[in-house]
Amino acid sequence: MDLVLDHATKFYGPVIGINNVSCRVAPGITGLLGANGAGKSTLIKLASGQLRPDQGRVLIGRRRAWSTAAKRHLGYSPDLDSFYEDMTGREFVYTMACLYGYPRSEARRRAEEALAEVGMRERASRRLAGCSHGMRQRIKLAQAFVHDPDVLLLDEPLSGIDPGGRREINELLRRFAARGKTILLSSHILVEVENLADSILMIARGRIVASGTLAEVRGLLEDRPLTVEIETGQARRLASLLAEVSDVRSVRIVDETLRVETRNPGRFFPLVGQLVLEHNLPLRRMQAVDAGIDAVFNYLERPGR
Amino acid sequence: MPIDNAHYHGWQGSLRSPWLATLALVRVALLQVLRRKLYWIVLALGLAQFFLYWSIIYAVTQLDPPPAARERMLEAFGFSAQPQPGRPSGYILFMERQSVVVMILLAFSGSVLVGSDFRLGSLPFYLSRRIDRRHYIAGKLLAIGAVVSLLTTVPALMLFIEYGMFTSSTDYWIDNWRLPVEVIAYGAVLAATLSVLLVTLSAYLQRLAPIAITWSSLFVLLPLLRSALVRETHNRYWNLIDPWRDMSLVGRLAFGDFDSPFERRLALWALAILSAISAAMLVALVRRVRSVDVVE
Repeated sequence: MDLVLDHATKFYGPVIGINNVSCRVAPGITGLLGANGAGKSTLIKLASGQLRPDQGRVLIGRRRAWSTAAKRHLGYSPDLDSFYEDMTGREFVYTMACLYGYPRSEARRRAEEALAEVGMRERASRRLAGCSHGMRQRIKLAQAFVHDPDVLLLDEPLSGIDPGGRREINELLRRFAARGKTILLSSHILVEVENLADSILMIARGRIVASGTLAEVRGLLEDRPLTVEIETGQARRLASLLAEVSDVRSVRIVDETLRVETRNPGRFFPLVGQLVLEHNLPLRRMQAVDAGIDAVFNYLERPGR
Repeated sequence: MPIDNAHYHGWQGSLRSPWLATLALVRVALLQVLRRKLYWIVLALGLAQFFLYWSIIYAVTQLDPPPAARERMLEAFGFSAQPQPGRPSGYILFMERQSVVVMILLAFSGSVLVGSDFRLGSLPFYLSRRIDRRHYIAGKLLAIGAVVSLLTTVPALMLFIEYGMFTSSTDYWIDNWRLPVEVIAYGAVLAATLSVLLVTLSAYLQRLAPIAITWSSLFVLLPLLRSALVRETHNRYWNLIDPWRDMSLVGRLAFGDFDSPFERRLALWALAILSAISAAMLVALVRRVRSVDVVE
């Protein structure tokens, strides 16, 4: 089942949340990437039917996202970390199943299955107040797919989870996607989703600035200009070598540190490695100074890049 | 367990209506109340009063005096099992006494049952289910209404049943069928008014201290102010600023007798005031729940 945003726009008073966004999220795992305040949560809230767009449409399959019929097919794990602290994980998931309209026995059975799925069955009798952040994330996931939804919306599901737990959740989501489910997973960390997502939606200032498969988006980023700082004992020599490289836009030496602007990071980094080895130059540090996600989005939303 | 082995399957039965699904909210709310020791202390006060009247009715009926003597004995304990022309029955008086306990319990409950949803931002958990804002509001109102009814209407009805049982005659129940109706009517007014007031106040104030202070001001200070104003001005319309008095008068409108036409007129005014306040509160509540996602 697809999630469709068709020219969706949402205002918060004078502030625009998302601006004329059109996209189709197909079965599989789609990563929704954006810096804080980019519009990720607004898009997720529109998709989960908590908000209605001021313009355009948001559809789950053929149904409006805020309709009761659409919510039957929707699982949602919000980014917030606040529950009824007195409840156990089991009670919480069971209550959420009841709110979908399942009779008690079916809700109980589904809660147990969902908890087993996230590896929380044995620990689900613990009060939520006593659960670690990772355990709470798993319980949030369990409540999101307790009703076996066709579309799963996960807002920052991997934040605060240790690498082992992250691997387990990744596997769980892949299995879920393999069953033909649609998963939209938001994050502000690129590497967090690139190992998991089949396709990527990048959002900045309320607009989709890039979308496509991971390879397509990576291709866009490879052409992105990047400033790299290199610390070497022979800054002038390396600078002269780099000045002859066509992908290098400028080279400056600041306090014995090379500051190189390249138009093609994809080719630049292997080339530096090659030069260093060929000329036997010391290399103490090499770091991209504007590789943060904000810089990536600034580049992607720049007109005529 | 691999997801394919987890026996997920399409639900073959029919899902319950979202309105019925809100009963889960009520269950959770009652559990929240019953889990806290502080609430049990307040509940114990309510239960103590109930058991006191239960014991009085039991003792008096077991002595088996003539009906008139039995009624006098009960009246000595501030209770009357018979309808009282122009006055509230013993069951209604019992409910009014329980209202003090209800007021204290609700002052502490608002933050836990409603305020925390807004303060911690838990609403998305609910609103992304098959329920929407209407169902959420209805669920919370029902939850508070259930707490109120469990402390007032239910024990009052149990006392009515007890009296009929121990006087070994069904005649009492048949002859006085209006008494339980009065109890239910007054209980409904209490539950409806208190739930709307508390849910709305809690949605806006959110934290325990401001809720408790505002709640106590409404239900303690206003009655004190009312009695002072009536005493000083001899204007009985000042009775209308007391929410307990208003709810009592409205409850009696169902079947209760009034000792004067003025009392009945006052009851109609009370009905108008409570309806207006409840409607305004409900509108404010809907606006509050609607605006929960709007950034400042």
